[in-house]
Amino acid sequence: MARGADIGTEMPKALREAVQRLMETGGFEGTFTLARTPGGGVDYFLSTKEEGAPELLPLHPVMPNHAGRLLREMTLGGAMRGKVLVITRPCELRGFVEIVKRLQGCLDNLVFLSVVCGGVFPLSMVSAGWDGKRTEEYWAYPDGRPVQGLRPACQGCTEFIPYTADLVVAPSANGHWALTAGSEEGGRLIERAFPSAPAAEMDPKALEAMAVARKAGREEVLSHEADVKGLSDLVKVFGRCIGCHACSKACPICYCTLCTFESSRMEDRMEQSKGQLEVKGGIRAPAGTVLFHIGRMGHMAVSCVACGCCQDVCPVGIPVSLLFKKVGEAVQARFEYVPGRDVKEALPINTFQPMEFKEVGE
Amino acid sequence: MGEMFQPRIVGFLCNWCSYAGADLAGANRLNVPSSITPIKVMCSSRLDPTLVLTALLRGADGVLVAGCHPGDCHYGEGNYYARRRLYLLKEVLAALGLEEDRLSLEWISASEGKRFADVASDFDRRIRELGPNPIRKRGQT
Ligand code: SF4
Ligand code: SF4
Ligand code: SF4
Ligand code: FES
Repeated sequence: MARGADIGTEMPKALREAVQRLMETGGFEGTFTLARTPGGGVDYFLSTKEEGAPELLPLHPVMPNHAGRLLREMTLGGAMRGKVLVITRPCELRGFVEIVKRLQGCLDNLVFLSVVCGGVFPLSMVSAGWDGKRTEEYWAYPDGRPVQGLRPACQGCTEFIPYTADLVVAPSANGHWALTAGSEEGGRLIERAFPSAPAAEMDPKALEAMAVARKAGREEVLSHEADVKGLSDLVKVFGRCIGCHACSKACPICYCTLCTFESSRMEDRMEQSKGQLEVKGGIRAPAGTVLFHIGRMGHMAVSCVACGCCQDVCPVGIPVSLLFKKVGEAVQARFEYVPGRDVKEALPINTFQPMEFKEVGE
Repeated sequence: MGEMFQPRIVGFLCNWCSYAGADLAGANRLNVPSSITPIKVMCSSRLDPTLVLTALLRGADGVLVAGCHPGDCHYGEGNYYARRRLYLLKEVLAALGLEEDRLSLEWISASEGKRFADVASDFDRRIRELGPNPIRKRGQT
């Protein structure tokens, strides 16, 4: 593993200082990170080194938007001009890689700093007012005990180590944190920013403890409402869906400007519903909520990074991300695919082997 | 209930092969179950999985997708992509505990009238065994 630098014990201050140094020495035009909004909230900002930049809060434990989604919008027209340090969580990076594979974004000029991820809190908790003590508790050195109150998706997240980040903030030995390199570029940046800091590495024991806790968390979060077995469970869990499609709007993978499920084809006109009324006796309005969810799974579950953004924005508390995680994991396992693992790996739906899946067609 | 059950099966048939195969079956007066409503598509890859789902969620008891044999797709590779998409959709259904067996993909060429009749009869029988789509008579969706 490439060289890493010890950044001490005082998180998140140490992280802010590390970002500062990287910005000063790394030749960056700007950074894309969470920062304080004028109103006191937290949002993503693209900011330069110049004065007037907002107070940076790198890796503050909320996800007001999926960074992959925002980066897609910013790079759809072409590469970012000038080198930018992008600071995001692993599922955000993975989501962006998936969207780049769909030719909807561009990785050029972006250097990624990510983290051995402790998860984020639900948005509702943030809007209720942020308690500074929570930040302290959050950044306490991970001993495998899950932090209370994280989003369900995070409680059950087993993909908490980034695959393709250049720089990774990670727990190191003796309660210290380290900035480690995930690429050659990352290694060079660390050498320039921390020429004399003591060397440090990820602590495999801390990672192992986290993995054990997350596996247990995964079992737990998937075992309740998301444990859908058959049509009646499905109708029950999606029965309160109001069809607002906020879940797909928040999703990093759903990029279609005109989503199939918002086209006029999906409007159930009375004359078209006659047949359905005949066979079913009654149809729920809004119609097609179950179709929307299963259909969306058919389109994007293979790339679902289980980030939890969809669930975070659902106004009626449907465990959307857990259901997508469950289905996503099943589909991905069949194609031996890990979304966001490698930008060069083809999307399973964009490739094929002539002699495969005999059991489906023949 | 079993004896009363008349399945309704939607058959998405590729214009260049399976649709012609179905035609041939008719011209040769082969026995094709009346449960199948054929819908012509230009290629098996024309099918957005949403169309298959729409049929199933609106009460179809089965969906049969039929396209050209591997290597014979009129557009080169369409059926390979269709196979992946439908395989994926079956996984989605299975993960949710839905009956993936209500969906079937078959390769039938334009000259295989007999094969079309066999495939259709076989699928009709399997759907009869499965019984009516439970989504029928359920007001919620
Ligand atoms: S479906 Fe939900 S959990 Fe999956 S990538 Fe989209 S927003 Fe994230
Ligand atoms: S559900 Fe499908 S059509 Fe709609 S935005 Fe997502 S991928 Fe696109
Ligand atoms: S956000 Fe919730 S209510 Fe809105 S469409 Fe998605 S699941 Fe339904
Ligand atoms: S043209 Fe028949 S499957 Fe593509």
